[in-house]
Amino acid sequence: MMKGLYTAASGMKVQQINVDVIANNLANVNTAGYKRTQADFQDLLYVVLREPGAQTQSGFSTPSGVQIGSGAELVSTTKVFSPGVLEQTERALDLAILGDGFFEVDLPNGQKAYTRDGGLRLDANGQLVTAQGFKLSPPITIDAAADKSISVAPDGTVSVRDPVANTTSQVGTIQVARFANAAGMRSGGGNLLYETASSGTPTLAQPGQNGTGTIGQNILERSNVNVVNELVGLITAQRAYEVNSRAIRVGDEMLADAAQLVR
Amino acid sequence: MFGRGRHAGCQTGAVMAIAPAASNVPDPRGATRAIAYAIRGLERRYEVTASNLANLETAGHKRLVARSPGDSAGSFRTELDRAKSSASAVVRDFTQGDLVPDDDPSELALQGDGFLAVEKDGELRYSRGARVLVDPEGTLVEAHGGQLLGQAGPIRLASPLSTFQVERDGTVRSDGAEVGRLRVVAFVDPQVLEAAGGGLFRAPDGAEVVSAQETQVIQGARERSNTDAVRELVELIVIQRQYEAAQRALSVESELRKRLNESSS
Repeated sequence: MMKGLYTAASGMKVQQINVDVIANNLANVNTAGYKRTQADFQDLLYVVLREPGAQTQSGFSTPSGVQIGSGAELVSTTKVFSPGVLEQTERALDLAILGDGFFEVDLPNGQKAYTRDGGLRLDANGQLVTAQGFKLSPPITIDAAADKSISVAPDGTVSVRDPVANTTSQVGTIQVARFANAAGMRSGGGNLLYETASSGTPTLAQPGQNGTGTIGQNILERSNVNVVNELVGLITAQRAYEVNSRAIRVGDEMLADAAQLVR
Repeated sequence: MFGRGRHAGCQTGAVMAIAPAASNVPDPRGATRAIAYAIRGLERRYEVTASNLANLETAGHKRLVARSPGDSAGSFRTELDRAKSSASAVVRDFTQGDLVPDDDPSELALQGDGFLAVEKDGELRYSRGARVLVDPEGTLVEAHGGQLLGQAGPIRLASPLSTFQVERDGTVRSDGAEVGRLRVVAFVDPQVLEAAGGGLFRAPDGAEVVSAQETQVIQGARERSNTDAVRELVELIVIQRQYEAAQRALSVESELRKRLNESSS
């Protein structure tokens, strides 16, 4: 059977994955701290019918060989950590990292996870938690009576002001984790990313130091998904899918022709 | 097609061994064989086109072109030559693909004919672009795990947490300080490059290398495949129609021979 049929099928499969990735980006266009994923493709192995420089029958050495590709495949889906759109909010606990780095959270199973989503809340014990309820690491406890105002400085220090006593007290410092290769982190849903062997170990630092970003208060970082770019990607993916299906049809019709040879 | 279907010798390095026939003596097998060659060549052209289309969205992919060496010859025998040698050479079209800007600073693309030198599994490979990542040791690697090579071996940032900037001449800066310069090479004849899969190329020993002064390294851009979907679709249609015609020719030829056999018996 003609190899080209499978080659074109691999092209269709690749575009299918491409559409899946784009659809996921579009679905998360309003997810705080979401980083868009980029699917990267590569060409598949080549069938070498004749090596470049091989001797032909007439004794010449061919300048170029005969290598025919076998299609395309997915090589990686990479998170692109460009900054997202910053949105001003009225909540004192909406924090954004302006620059590089992640908030570190403690999962109930003792594992650490990392997120760019700084829409924080206070739990029943007055601890700073993410929207899913995971505690910030190191934990910060705020005695939050309704009339107290919380302020977070760019360097991560959290202080609480008591308007009655007219005092300001520091309650802790938010730390920011950085990775050598953030793109190598594993995404685990729930806006959380995990450390892997290829991401390297996290380096915790106070915001603004060692190249980490600073903390912005009353700001939420939205996704860095650009709808127009994703839609353009969707269109090109659809067209590429179409032409590959067309290649399969042509191959099929050629085979049908060949089958008519013997009647 | 049939009247001319006679032996033309093997000067194009044909796949099958055919004894050169005395000139102008019609060989009854010639026509059938010529058509069979044509059919095989068309199938190969189809495979090449399918491979180009499958990689329509593969960054840095360079399209393949099935070319018959007999193209330039003008004698009346060339039709058979061409049929025999159709796609006997598959060359790669190394023309520049469109550069699309990307907000991702880890994307590197090249403008010009150069290639980035990459060391993968201890072997030297060449690439038209890369998604550059920093491994936990601070070394610049590309998405397949190969190390990007500078003028003096792999490029290492001051610390794994440093960011890097790549200038147009390939100079890599990390935290403002120069940490190396990407090795960009061009080949006198890029056709000697062999595809190693994964967008990487392998150069044979002794491949002639020239400096790639004019090649610019562009950070935050990706080079699209230089395959033009419309051209490939036209190629598909042409292949299909020629294939049809070749099949029909074969049936006619077989019909003729059948009649010849009947009349002589």
